[in-house]
Amino acid sequence: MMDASDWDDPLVEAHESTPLRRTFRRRAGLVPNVVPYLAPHPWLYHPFLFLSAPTVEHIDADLVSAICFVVARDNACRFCFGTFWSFLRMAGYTKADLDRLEGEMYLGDRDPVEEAALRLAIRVSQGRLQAHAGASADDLHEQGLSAPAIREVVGAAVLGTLVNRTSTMLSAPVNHRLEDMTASWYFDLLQPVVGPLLSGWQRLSPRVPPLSADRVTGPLAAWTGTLEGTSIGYVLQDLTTQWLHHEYALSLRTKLLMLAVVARGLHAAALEQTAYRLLVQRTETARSEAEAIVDHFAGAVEPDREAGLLQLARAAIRYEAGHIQRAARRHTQGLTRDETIDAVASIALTNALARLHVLQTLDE
Amino acid sequence: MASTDLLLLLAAIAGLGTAFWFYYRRTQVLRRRLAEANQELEQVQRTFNRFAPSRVVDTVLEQESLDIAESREVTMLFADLRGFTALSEQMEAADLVKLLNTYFQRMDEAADAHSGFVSKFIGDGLLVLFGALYHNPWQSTDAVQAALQMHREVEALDRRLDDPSLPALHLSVGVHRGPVVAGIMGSLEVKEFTVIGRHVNLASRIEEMTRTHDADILISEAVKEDLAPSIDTEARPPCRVQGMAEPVQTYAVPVAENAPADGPYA
Repeated sequence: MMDASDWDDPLVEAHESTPLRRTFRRRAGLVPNVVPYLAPHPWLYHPFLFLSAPTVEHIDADLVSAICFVVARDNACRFCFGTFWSFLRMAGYTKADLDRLEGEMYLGDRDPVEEAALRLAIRVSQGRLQAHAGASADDLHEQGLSAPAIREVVGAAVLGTLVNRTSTMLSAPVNHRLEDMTASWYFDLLQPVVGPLLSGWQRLSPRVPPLSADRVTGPLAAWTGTLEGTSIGYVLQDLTTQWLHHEYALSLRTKLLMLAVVARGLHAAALEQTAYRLLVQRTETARSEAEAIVDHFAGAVEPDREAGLLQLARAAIRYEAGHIQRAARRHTQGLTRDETIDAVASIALTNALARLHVLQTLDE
Repeated sequence: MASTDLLLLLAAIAGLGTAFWFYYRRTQVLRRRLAEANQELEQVQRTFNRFAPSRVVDTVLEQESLDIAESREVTMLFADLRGFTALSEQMEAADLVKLLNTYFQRMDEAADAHSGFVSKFIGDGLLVLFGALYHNPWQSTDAVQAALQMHREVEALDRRLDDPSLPALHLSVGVHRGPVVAGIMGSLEVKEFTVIGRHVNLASRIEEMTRTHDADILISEAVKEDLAPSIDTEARPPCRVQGMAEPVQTYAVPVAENAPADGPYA
C-alpha cells in the first residue's frame, strides 16, 4: 500500500459528533476516521456514508468499491485508497486480487465488462471527458452493460472523485487500524465470518431509493438527471439541492463562482454558462464581472477569501495530492473551520457535477 | 492438583506468548517488505516521470501503444540562459554541472507551479508546454507567470554566484500559443512527449527576438489576447519572421513592473 509519509496532518480540527458516529455505525457497521473532520457540515458526510454501504440497482456493489479503489489509486488519495482496499478485503477479495486490480487493470486479466467499467471510471475521474469516454461507453454497451448500469459506473466514479477531493483537501487521517486488521494474516480466517456479517448488517439498514424523475429538480437538473434511476443520483441530487439552498458558511456567489471555475477547467461549457446565469439571477453579480473573475481570477473578488478559494477550486480540478494539499493550506488561511469545510465540500461537489458532463455527451 | 493447574496455566501463558511473538514477528516482517516494495515502486514512478508525465504514461498503458498524437491548443515557452557559454569557459566542470542542475531544477519547479510541463532541455535552454497534457483555459497567464518566476529564479541564481569576474546570467523567454500536434515522438529507442507544428517554430523565433526587441520576456499577440489584464505589457514594433507571411506583433513583459503580489495568481 501507499506510504503515509507524504500525507499531511488534517486541515481542520476534529469535531466529535456522537449522532453522526451512530449513523455510520448503524448504516455501515463502521466509522471511518474522516467522520470527525466532516462534522458538523450538513451534507458532506452523505457520500462517505453512501459509499461505506452502497445501494446499487444495476451493477454489483463490489464494483462500486472497486471503482472507488482504482479512482483513489489514480488520484493518489491515501485515505480513500486504504479505506476501499479494506472494504474490498472485507468483501472477500484476496490480497492477490487487489494487487491485480491495482496494478494490472489494463492487462486484460479481469472480466472485460469490469475492466471497461474501471477504464471509464478512471477517465471520468481524470476529467478526460471528451476524448475517449464515449468509445468506452460503447464498449460497455457491447459487453452487455445496460444504460442504467453505465450511469451507475459514472455515478460511482464521480462520487469516488468527490470523496477523494474531500479527503485529500482535508488530509483525512488514514484508517490504520482497519488497514492493519484487513492486511493481517488472520483476517483471511475471520473474513468468512466478518464479511457476511457486515454485508448482512448493511442490508438491514434502509436503502437509498433510486432517483425518480419527479425528484430531478432545480437549476442543475440537467446534470443530476443524468443519474436518474440510480441511488447515486438520489444522493447527488440531494447534495446539490442542499448546496444551492443552504448557505452554511460560504455565500452562494462564492460557491457558484467555484462551480464556474471547475466547469471551465473541465471544459463543461453548458455547466459554466448555467453557473453564470445563476450568479446573475440569484446573487446580482453582473455576468461580465463573473466572467472576468473566472477568466483571470481578478476583478471584484474579496481578496482574503473569494480569490484564494477560486484558486483552490482550480488547483483541485486536476489531481496531484501534494499540490492540492498545499493549495488547501495556503488558500484557507484565515478562514473559520466551518468556512474551510464548506469550501472543501463545494469544490468536491462541483468537481463531481462537472464530471457528469460525460453522461450528457453519451445522451447526445 | 493445584501445582498441575499452575503448570497448565504457565504452559498456556507460554504458548500464548510464543504465538503472540511469532505473530508480532511475522507482522513486522510483512510491514518491512511492504515498505520496501513501496519505496521501490515510488522510485520507479519517479524515474519514469522524468521521461514522460504520468498522464501520458497512463494513456500509453491504456492504449497499449506509443502512437499517441492529438491536435491541441498549447502555449509554448522557450527559455534560453544567456551568459552561460561564457561562464562555462571560466568555471570548473563540477561547479558548472552543479549550477546547471540547480538552474534546471528551479525552472522545472517554476513550470510545475504554474501547471506547465518541461518538454525538453535544449542545451542551457528549455521548452515548457502549457495545456499540452489536458485542457487548460488559463494557459496564457500560467505561461507568463511561469516566465516571470523563472526570471526571478535566474536573478537569484546570478546573485548567488557573487563573483564580479564572472559573466552575468540572464534569462530570455519567448511565449506563443497556437494549435499544435502533441504526442510521443522519436526513434524506436529514444522517445519523448513533445509538440510539433509551425507555432512551435514561431515560439522559438519569438525567444530569439528578445535580443533585438530589448526584452527579457516577449509574448505573441495570441498570448496577449488571453492574458490577465493585471499583467503589464509593452508593445514592440511588428517584425518579419522567416516562414510567416505577415509581420509578427509582440509584447514585452517587464519583470520589474510585474513583481509578485498577494493576488490569486501569486
